[in-house]
Amino acid sequence: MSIRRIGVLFAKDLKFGTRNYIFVFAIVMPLLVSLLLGLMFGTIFSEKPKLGIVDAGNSQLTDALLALDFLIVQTFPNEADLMTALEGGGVEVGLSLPAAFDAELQSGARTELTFYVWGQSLVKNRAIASAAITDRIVDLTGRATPVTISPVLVGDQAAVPWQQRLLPLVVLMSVMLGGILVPATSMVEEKLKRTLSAVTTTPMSMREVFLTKGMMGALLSVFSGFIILTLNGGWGPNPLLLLLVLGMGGIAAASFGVLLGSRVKDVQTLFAINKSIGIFIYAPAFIALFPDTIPQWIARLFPTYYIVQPVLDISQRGAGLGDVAVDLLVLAVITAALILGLSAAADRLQVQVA
Amino acid sequence: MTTHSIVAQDLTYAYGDNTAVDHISFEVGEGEIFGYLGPNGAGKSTTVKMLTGQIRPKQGKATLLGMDIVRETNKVQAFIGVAFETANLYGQMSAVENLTLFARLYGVKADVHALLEKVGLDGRAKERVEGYSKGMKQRLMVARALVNHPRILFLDEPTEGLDPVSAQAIRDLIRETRAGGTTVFLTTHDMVEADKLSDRVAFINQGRIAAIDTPHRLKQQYGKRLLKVEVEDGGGRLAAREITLDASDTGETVKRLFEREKVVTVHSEEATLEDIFIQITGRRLAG
Repeated sequence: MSIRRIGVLFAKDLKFGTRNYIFVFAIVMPLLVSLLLGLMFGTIFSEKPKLGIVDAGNSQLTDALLALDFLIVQTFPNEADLMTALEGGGVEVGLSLPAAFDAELQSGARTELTFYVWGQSLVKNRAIASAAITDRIVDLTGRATPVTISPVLVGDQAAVPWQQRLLPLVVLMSVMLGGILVPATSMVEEKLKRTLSAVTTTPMSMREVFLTKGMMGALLSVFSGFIILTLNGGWGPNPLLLLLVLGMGGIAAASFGVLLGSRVKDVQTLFAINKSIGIFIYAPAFIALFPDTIPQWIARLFPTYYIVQPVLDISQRGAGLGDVAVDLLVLAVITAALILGLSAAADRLQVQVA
Repeated sequence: MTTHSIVAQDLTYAYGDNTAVDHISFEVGEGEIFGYLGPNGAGKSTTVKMLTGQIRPKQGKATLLGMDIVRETNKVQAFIGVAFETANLYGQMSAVENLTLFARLYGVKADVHALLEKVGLDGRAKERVEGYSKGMKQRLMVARALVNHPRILFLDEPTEGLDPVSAQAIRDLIRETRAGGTTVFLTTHDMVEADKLSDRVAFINQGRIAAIDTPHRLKQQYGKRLLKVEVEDGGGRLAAREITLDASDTGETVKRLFEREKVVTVHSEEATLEDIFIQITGRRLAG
C-alpha cells in the first residue's frame, strides 16, 4: 500500500468526482429531507424548547428563566391554562411555582417542584429545560439546593413525535446515500471507461484503488451525517462518540458501495440494484416510523440498524459508550465481513478489467 | 552478451477451458523493437496482460528487467509503460491533467508539455480529452505510456484506425523512444507496420508461437522472390507472367521470355510478412 498513490487518486476523485451529479445528489438529498422535516415540525428555525410557567408568588426564578435566550418562556395565570397549552403542544414543558417558593428556597428546606412534560416533546428539549431550571435555582441561592423535580407526563403519553420517528430515516439517508452511491458509481464509471485498467498497470494495485474509493465514500458519509446532526441540533452530550459511530457507519457503507461497484457492470444496473436493496437499507427507519404497529425488535435483523440506533441513542438519549458497545461490536463485525469480501473482489476485478 | 529486457518461459493462460496462451517462450533484447503479430484472438493481448502484471500466468513465468512479474509486480510496473488499443483516458480531464495524474501515480516528475509537443498535442493541451478525435486520444495514450520514462514500452495496435499523418507521428515516436534505449513490445496485426518498425517479430497463432526471427530472415527462409512480367500478345492484350528468382534456371527462363514475347513491364517482388504468416499458419492476419 502506498499512501502517496492513494492520496494522488483521492485528490483526483475529490477534484473531478465532486462535479458528478451523484455526488451532489448524495449531499443535497438528505439536506433537503432534513430541511423539509424541520419546516414541517418547526424544529429547524424555532428549535428552542418551549416552557410554560404558573407562578403564584412572583418568584425570582420566573424572571431568571424569562431572561434566558435559549428558552421560549410563557407565563400562565393558572394551572388549567398551562395544562391546556401542554396538551395542545403549545408549550413542551410546564412548571408550577407555589406562592412561598422563594421563601422555601432561602430557608434551605427541601422544595418539591412538579415538572409537567408534554408526551410528544423531544427528549433533548425536556433535558434542556430541566437543566435550565436547576441552574437558575443554584444561581438564585448561590449553593446546591435541595429541590426535588417530579416529572408528570401530560397529553398523549405513548405517542412518539413524528420528528423523532423520521429522524432515523434522515440519519440513514445521510450516512448511506453518499457512502454507498458515490464509491459504487465511481467504480462502475472507471470500469466502463476502462481507466481502471490504465491505473492498475501503474504500480497502483486494485486494493489501493478500492481503499481510495472507500475513503471518499466514508468521508462523504461522515460529512453528510455531521451536517444533518448539526442542522438538527443533534450532537448531544457525547459528540466524539457520535463522530466515532458516524465514522464506523461511513466505513461500512463505503465498503458495501465499493463491493457493489466492483460487481455491477453499468450505472443503470447499479441504480436498479440500489432501488431494490433500498428496502433493506432503510428498513430500520421505516420500522421506527410505526412503533405501535411493528415490533421494534425486527429492526435488529437489518445491518443498518447498528448504524442508526447508536446514533439515535447517543444523540437523542445521551447514551455513552457502554450503552452502545454491543451495537458497535455488531457493526464492526459486519464491516470486517465486508472488507474481507472486498479483498476477494479486488483479485477478481483485476482479472476482469485486464 | 545480450541483455534481455523480457524473458517469457512456458507462459500459459486459460479463460476457463479455453487456452489463450499455450506454453510460449521467447526473449526480447534491451533496446529492441519486438513485433508480436497474430490475428484477433491469437493470444497477443493475453500475453501482454501477463507481461504487464494485469493477470497472473496459470503456468510458466516471465521476468522483466530481471524481476519476476508475479512476485514483483509493483516494482516491474514502475519501469514499464503501456498504451492500450482502446482509449482509456479520463475524459473530463485535459491532456495535461491526464499526464500529470499518471506521473504522480508513478511518483516521477515529467515534462508533460514536452511530451505533448512530441505527440503534436501541445496546442490542445488544456482541452477536455472527451472532445479529442480517435487519433488524438491514441497519441495521448502513447504520451501517457512514456510519462514514467519506461525501460520497456508495450504498445497494443498503436496506429490502428489512425490517419496516415497520426500513424507516422506515432511510428517516429516509437523509433525515437527506442533510440533512447527503451525496449518496445509492439502488438499488432498490421504486417506492414511490423515490418517497418520491428527488429524481430514473433508470429502467434492459436496461443502458440509459430515463428520468431527478423523480418528479413523470415522472408529469406519462407518467402519466394518473384519477377512479375507484363507481356503484350499479338492482339494488343496484356498478359501476366511470373518467374521465380531463386530457381536454378531463372536466367534461362528470363532470356527465353524476352526472346519470344513482347515484354511491356518487369517488376521484382518480395514476399510480405503477411504471405509468410499465411504460409506458416494457414491463416490470414486481419480479422
